[in-house]
Formats: sequence, C-alpha cells, structure tokens
Amino acid sequence: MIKSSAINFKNSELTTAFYSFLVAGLFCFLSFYDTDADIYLFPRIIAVTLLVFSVILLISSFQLSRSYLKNSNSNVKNGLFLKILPGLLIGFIYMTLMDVVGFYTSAFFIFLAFLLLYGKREMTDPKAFIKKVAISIGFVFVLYLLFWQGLHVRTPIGLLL
Amino acid sequence: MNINKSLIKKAAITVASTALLLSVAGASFADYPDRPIGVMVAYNPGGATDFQARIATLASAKEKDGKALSVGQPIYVTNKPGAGGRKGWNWFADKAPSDGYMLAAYNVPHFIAQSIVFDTKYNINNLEPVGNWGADPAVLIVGKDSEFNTATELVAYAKKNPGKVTVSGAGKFVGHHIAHLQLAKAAGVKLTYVPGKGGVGAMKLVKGGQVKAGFNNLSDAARAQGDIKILAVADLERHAFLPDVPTLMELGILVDNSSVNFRGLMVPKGTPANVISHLEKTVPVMFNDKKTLGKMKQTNSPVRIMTRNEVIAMWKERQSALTELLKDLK
Amino acid sequence: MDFLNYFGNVFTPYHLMLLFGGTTAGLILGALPGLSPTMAVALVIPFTFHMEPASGLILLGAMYTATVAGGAISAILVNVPGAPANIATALDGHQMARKGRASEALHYCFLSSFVGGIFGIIILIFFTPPLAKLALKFGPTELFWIAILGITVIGTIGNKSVIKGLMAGLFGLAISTIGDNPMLGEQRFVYSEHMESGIHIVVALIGLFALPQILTLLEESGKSKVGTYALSETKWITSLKYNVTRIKALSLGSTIGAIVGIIPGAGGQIAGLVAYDQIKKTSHSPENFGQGEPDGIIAAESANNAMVGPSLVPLLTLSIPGSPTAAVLLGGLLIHGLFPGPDLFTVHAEVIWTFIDSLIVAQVFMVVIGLFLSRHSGWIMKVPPHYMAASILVLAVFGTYSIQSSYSDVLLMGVLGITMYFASKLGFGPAPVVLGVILGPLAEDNFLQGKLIGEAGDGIFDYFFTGTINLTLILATLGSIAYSVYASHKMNKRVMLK
Repeated sequence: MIKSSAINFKNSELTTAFYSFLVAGLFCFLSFYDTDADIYLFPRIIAVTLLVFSVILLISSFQLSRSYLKNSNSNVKNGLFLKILPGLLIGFIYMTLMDVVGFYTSAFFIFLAFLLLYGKREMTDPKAFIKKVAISIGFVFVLYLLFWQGLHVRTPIGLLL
Repeated sequence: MNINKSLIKKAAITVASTALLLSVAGASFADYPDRPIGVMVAYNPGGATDFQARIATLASAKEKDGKALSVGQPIYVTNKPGAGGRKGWNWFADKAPSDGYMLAAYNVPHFIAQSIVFDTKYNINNLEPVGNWGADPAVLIVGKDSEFNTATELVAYAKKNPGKVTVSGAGKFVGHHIAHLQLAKAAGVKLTYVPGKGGVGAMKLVKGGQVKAGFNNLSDAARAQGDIKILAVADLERHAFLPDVPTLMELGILVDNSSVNFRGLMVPKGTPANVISHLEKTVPVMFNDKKTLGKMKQTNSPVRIMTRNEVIAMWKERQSALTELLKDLK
Repeated sequence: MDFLNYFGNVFTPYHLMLLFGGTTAGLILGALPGLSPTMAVALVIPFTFHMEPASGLILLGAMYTATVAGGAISAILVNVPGAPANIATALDGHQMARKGRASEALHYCFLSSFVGGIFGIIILIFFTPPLAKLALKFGPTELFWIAILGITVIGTIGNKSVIKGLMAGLFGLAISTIGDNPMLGEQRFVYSEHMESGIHIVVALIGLFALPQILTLLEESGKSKVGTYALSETKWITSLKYNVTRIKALSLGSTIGAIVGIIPGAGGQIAGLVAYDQIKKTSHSPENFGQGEPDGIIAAESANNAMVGPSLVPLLTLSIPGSPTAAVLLGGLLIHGLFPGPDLFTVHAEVIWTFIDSLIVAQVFMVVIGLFLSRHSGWIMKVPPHYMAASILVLAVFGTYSIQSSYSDVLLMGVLGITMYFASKLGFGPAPVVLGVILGPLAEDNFLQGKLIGEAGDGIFDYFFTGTINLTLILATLGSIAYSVYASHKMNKRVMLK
C-alpha cells in the first residue's frame, strides 16, 4: 500500500497491470486450491476471466508508447499520501475502538480529532478548540437523536455509550 | 479492649455491607425487568419471523391497576440477518448479554438443523427457550395449471420419472428442505430440490410454473390459493386454516411434523434462574393477549402457544429426528 | 377509473401531514450518506404498526418515493450515492457540482424524478393485470440473462478504460461470492467470522464511495478558501425550461425504469445504470458523459423513480417484490393484514387505491420540497472539507451498522473503502464494483436454480436457450457487447484526432 505513493507517471500503467495481476492470481489460487468444483464454479469462472484481463492489461501496458502514457489519468503525486496518513490512522483507531468504547463516544473523539488535525488554525488555540469541541458534541447529539431515539438503532454501548 | 472494639466495628461493617450487598442483589432480582428488553431476530425486517415477533411481543408492557400483566417492560426488536439466520444466532449464543435483557426469536427446525450440519456456536444445549408463539407447517403445493391434483398423483409420477419432479423451498436446511427429504424418503422417490431465494422466491417458482411442485409455509400458501393448489400438509393433524387439505400421513406417506416451523423466544445459557422463571411465567401470558391474538389472526399467522418445558421437550425430539434425517447429507 | 374516487382520502389534514413529514424525512434520510431507501423504509415500519392501514401505507409510500430521490442529493453534492440506484446520478451529477452547477444538477434530478415517478404510477394504475402475468414469466433463466445483460453494461460506466471497467466489475462479482450461499448451503472464502454473511450491497456501496471521498476531501483540505467547490445559483424555472427539452433522456429513462421495475428480483438498483448506459451509447457526444452532462442525471433519475410504481405491480398482485425496498414494503402490508392478490383490489380497494393515489401526491410533495431544498444546498457546499470528511466518516459507520446491526459490516466497509481509494488512484472506478456486487448473486443463484431445473427436465442447454424472453435477452446482450466495441472504437478515433 505504501508503495503506491511512489507511483509516478512513467510506470503507472505498468504498476496498475502488475497489481491487478497479483490480485487476479491470488483470487485464482483461493478459488482453485483445496475447493469443491461444483461449489466454486462461479468464483473460478470469475477468477480466470479476471486473470485473462489482467494479462491483457499487462501486455498492452508494455506496448504503450511513452508519449501516450503522459496522458494517462493517474493523479497520484508524491506527498499526498503523507497528507492523508493521519486521517487513515485515525480511521483505523476508530474502527478498532468503537466496539469497545461505544459508538457515540468514539464518534465524538474521532470527529474532534479530524477537526483538530486538519483545521487551519493551530491545535492549541483555545478559542478554536472550544468551538471544535462544541461542534463535535452537537454533531454527536444530533446523531444520537436521529439513530437512537428516532430510528431505534441500538448501536453497541461498549464501556461508555 | 481496643482490639475488641475494632473487631466489633469490623464485624459490624462486614455485616452491614453484606446486608447492603444482599439487599441490592435482592432488589435487582426482584426488580427484573427494570428497563426495556430487546429481541434479536435473525432475519430481515418485514419477513414473517420479524413481523410475527413484533406482534407477539406487543403486549409485553401491558398493565392493569398499576400491576404488570405479563413481562412488565416494553420489548423492542433488533434485526441481525445473514447466512440464513446463522449470523444472528451465532452472535446471540456467543456475545449476547445473559442478563435477561436480550432475548432472541428462534426458528425450529432451522437452527437445530444448522447446528447439526454446520460448525455453529449454538446448539440446543446452550440456549434456553422461554415460550413458543407459533407453528407454521410446510405444505406441498403445485401451480394452478399443474397436472397434479393430489399428492398421490405427484408421488406416482415421481416414481415413474425419478429426479424429474422439481420441488422448490426457501433454502437449504430449513423446514421446507426437511419436508422434501422426508417426502422423498417416506415415498421412496427421487425428487430434485430447488432452493429459492427465501419462501417468497420459492413461491414465485411455483406460481410461475418453473418448478413442478414446492414446499412452502402454510400461512403463505393459504392466502395464495388463487394461484396455486395445496396438495397436502406436512403435520400430524389437518390445520384449521385449511380444513379440506389432508396431511401426508392420511395419504399413507409417513411424514411427521419434523418440518413444522416453530417460532418462539429464548435466552442464552447462563441467564439467572430467577430471570428465566420470570420469563417462563410471563411470556406465554404475553402471547395470549387478546389484541395480539387478533393481530396474529389478521395476518394469517398460525398460533401455537407452548410453555418452556414443552419447548424443551420439542427441541430434544427434533434434535434426534433431524440428526437421523441429516446423517446421510453431511 | 377506480383510482379517481379515493383522492378524497388522501387530502385529509392528517394524511397531508404524514405525506409532508414522510417526504421531508425521506429526502433528508436519503440524502445522508449511508442511509439507503430500503433501510429507511424498514426503520419506519415499526412506527406504522399502530396506525390505520391506509395511514401507515401513505407514510411508507411517501418515504419510499422521497428516499429514492433523496439519495441523489448526496450523490450530487458529495459524490456518495445514498443508494445503489443513485450511482449513475453521481457520475455526472457530482461533476456538475464540482463545476459550481450543484443547484442546477439538483433541479434536473428532482424534475426528472417527478416525470419518471408519475409515469411509473400511471403504468401501475392502468397496466397491473397484464404486467403481473408478464412478471411471472421471468424465471431463473430469464433472470440469469438479465444479470448477464447487466454485466455487459459494466465496462462502459464510470471508467475511462473499458478493460479497467470490466476488471473492476469482475472484482465486484468476485467479492459477491464471499460468505454464505443459501442456494448451495455452503460458505465460501470465509477466513474470519466477520466474512460469514458476505458483503451486503449497501455495505459495499458505502465503503466504495464514501471512504475514498473522505480521503479525497482530506487531500483537498486547506487548499481552497471557503468550501470545497465554487457555487453559482440557478433559478429552478431556468432548469425546468432546459429539462423539458430533453425529451429523449426523459422518455428513455422512464421507459427503462418502468421495464426494469416490473422484473421481479432484478431490482430498481440497476434501473438508473442501465438508463445511463443507454443514453450514453445513443448520444451524439458520448465523451461528455462523466464530465457533467445533464442528460446523464435526467436519464438516471427518471429511471430510478419510474421504477417505483411498476415494482409494486408484482408486489401487490403476486406478493413478489420487484426491488429490495418493495420487499420491505411487503412486510408493511402484511402487518396490516393486507395480503397481496386479487382480493387486495376488491376487499381492500379503499386502502389500496388511497395508497396508490397518495403516491401521486407524494411525487408532487417530493418535487416541491426537493426544489426548495436545492435552493439551500449551497450551505452543504460551503462546509469546509475536513468537517465534511469527519461527518461522512461517522455517518458511514452508523449507516453501515444500522443495516444489519453488525460490527463486522463496519469493518468490511472500512477494508473495502481503503482498497478502493488506492485502486481509484490506478484508474479503477467504484461504480462497476458495486454493479458487480449487485449482479453476482443474481447471476449465480439463478444459474444454479436453472441448472437444477434444466437437469431435471430436457437438459441445461435447452432450458437456458429456449423461450422468447430468453432469446430476446441473449440478442440484447450480444447487441450491447457489439455496440460497446463499436462505440469505444469510434471514441478512440475521435480522441486520436483531437
């Protein structure tokens, strides 16, 4: 995953073909290895077709001239990955903790974390901090009214709520 | 003397705190239930199990002169559908709190058959029934324009043409599938089972004439009589909804009531005995509510109210019958 | 003309209030990323429990109509379709929003929804008996060929490269085989308990669209001064004048939507995409699609709402729902003791015609409230990107959880979303993947049923390749493939010339 930040215009088509080939190969392996032919009939058909397409993509990306590649639609730039990395990390923590801590509590902290990390003003600015906490509480409260009270969805309570 | 005093003091504190603890515990025992109770339904909202569960629990908080008539708290429904019910029931046996505040709706024979065929986290030993509200037998149906008018004709045709008779049902290892297996075994014929997408999908295959016959829920079949013919009931007795339709037994095909779809409420093992006894007493009363029974009738849902002990016996009986029947399939 | 007699029942203060409340709530719920129409209707059913049958149905009908249209709001404004039906709307709608034409896009969406919706209900009122017979003719083989026809659409939607589109679609088909298969009675590719019940369509939809959008918003945060995109207001009357001139897109969308709606099980989920594919293929300038072409929205949204009426035909007559939402609606009918069948239109005529009439009135409410909301869509566009990202993330999590009360679904949604973000950097779009997830079970389940029935009868080949509907569908599939090849060849030539 980290590698994708290093993709540049020159080899993006080739990299794409390479990754798709890997995915198709893995899926082929999983649907053929130690499986029942009748039950895995559909996955097998899909896997083989996917593999064929990825080979076509691989061959055509070798053949493409460099001038055409310059027009390719890839928009990965170095540095962008660093920008989204904190967001990914917060998201990961959120996904693992919400079941334990409770959906609403974790939603509040994650919402606040996004506002603090990606806000334009400094994290330590007390005025901005209070405003952001207030907005987060408001958001989670509306969420609670909508899902818990309004729609009767019982999300896991966890340790807190 | 000082030592004695402090001893007395300590003893007094111990006694007092124990008494306090006991009284708190006692209060919590006596006060169950003191907040709303959930019922987990392992199928989609709007399905038969879901709406019957909602109707069956309607009267849970009914009071008269300030005294609770049945369970004594409102009951809400939570759906955890997936994998033919396995998703929800696995969660229930494994993760649900066993404090009496989360019940689940069961479908027999589905969950028992699944626990025999698959590696599930639940079986009849780690679940405790508290009452049964309904029993929906499987019926043998054919399309309106079908050449068959009785189950005997169908069986005779199947004997001459092994495997040519297609029979639809709601899926694998549900009541309809069990009924199909029993019919094939009892009549000594070879049938082709076509699993549909739920009872609705199976019914569609019959109405559209894509399959020659089908097993479906008695309640659904009874109200679709304009489009289908009902040949027989897979139960021990004829049903009040369909007094003219014979049972398979009457026709000499020895199919018992193993495929009847029983629906009721249960709690996980480890639930305190006093909670179970409270539910055991009040849940059948809740099912017997006049308004609930009226709604059940209005929605064509066959009611059969059973107590905890009756359900335990029924589960055990099903377990051994199904183990025998599914032995060859595993 | 039975239906004319019951309008009086709709215009009572209580029912008008229900229609207003249901429509407003439906539009807002539909617009929240992560809340699908199916779920919104399912969540409201308990509320209708204690109402009179007609009142309960009016509320459900208003919710159904409005959530289908509401799902387009988030598709256009934040590129997160509210339901699978709105995927096609996002393709051009969000591009228009990025160019500052958000309000215009929303106008087209509601006006076209209205046209399609009314068309669909007219079909429901006048053609129910013959269509019910037709619906029953769709057995396993016919549905299998419909799925295959749908798969041929995959390559042309939402992707610049046809081969990448097809690969993304195949990936969708592949992940649709994960989990329990009730037809086989077996589990496949279950490597952890979270994968046991497979990947729900709406879970895939939320993960594949919402999470990449969150990360894209984070990329963009701090770049622009106010809001995400520029904004220009368009008067609704201007949009209306343009909208009525797009007769081809409107009629194509409405017709396709109505046809797809009748076919039981195919689901309105694909109506919008099929209509989009057709309008793009028959357009004089197909290269404009995906860049903010109003015709894309008009065709997709008229199809989505034209599907609503006809999807009730098999539901009300045969108890066979034409879409997942209609399936939930069936539960709503049964709870009130209203059993689909001929009785419904005789014994319960008053309830059922009041319900159908209320659907017409609900369309009017939908377009009026929708146009009003479009005027205020500006403030959503002014929300700073990081606020938007945080809100979408939390809503996506709650929405995903509420589908099946499952924490596993939330995890699956997360994994799919992150994967999709990186895949989109390599040129793969999310729309074909979702279409693959929708069509996978449709193709496989019906193939398995057809195989069993065929084997018991005259053989599989015979069963799948005979019958008028089968042959028509096979021809259409071949035609669709041939046209795709021809069109992409033509388009390549144009690009080369430029």
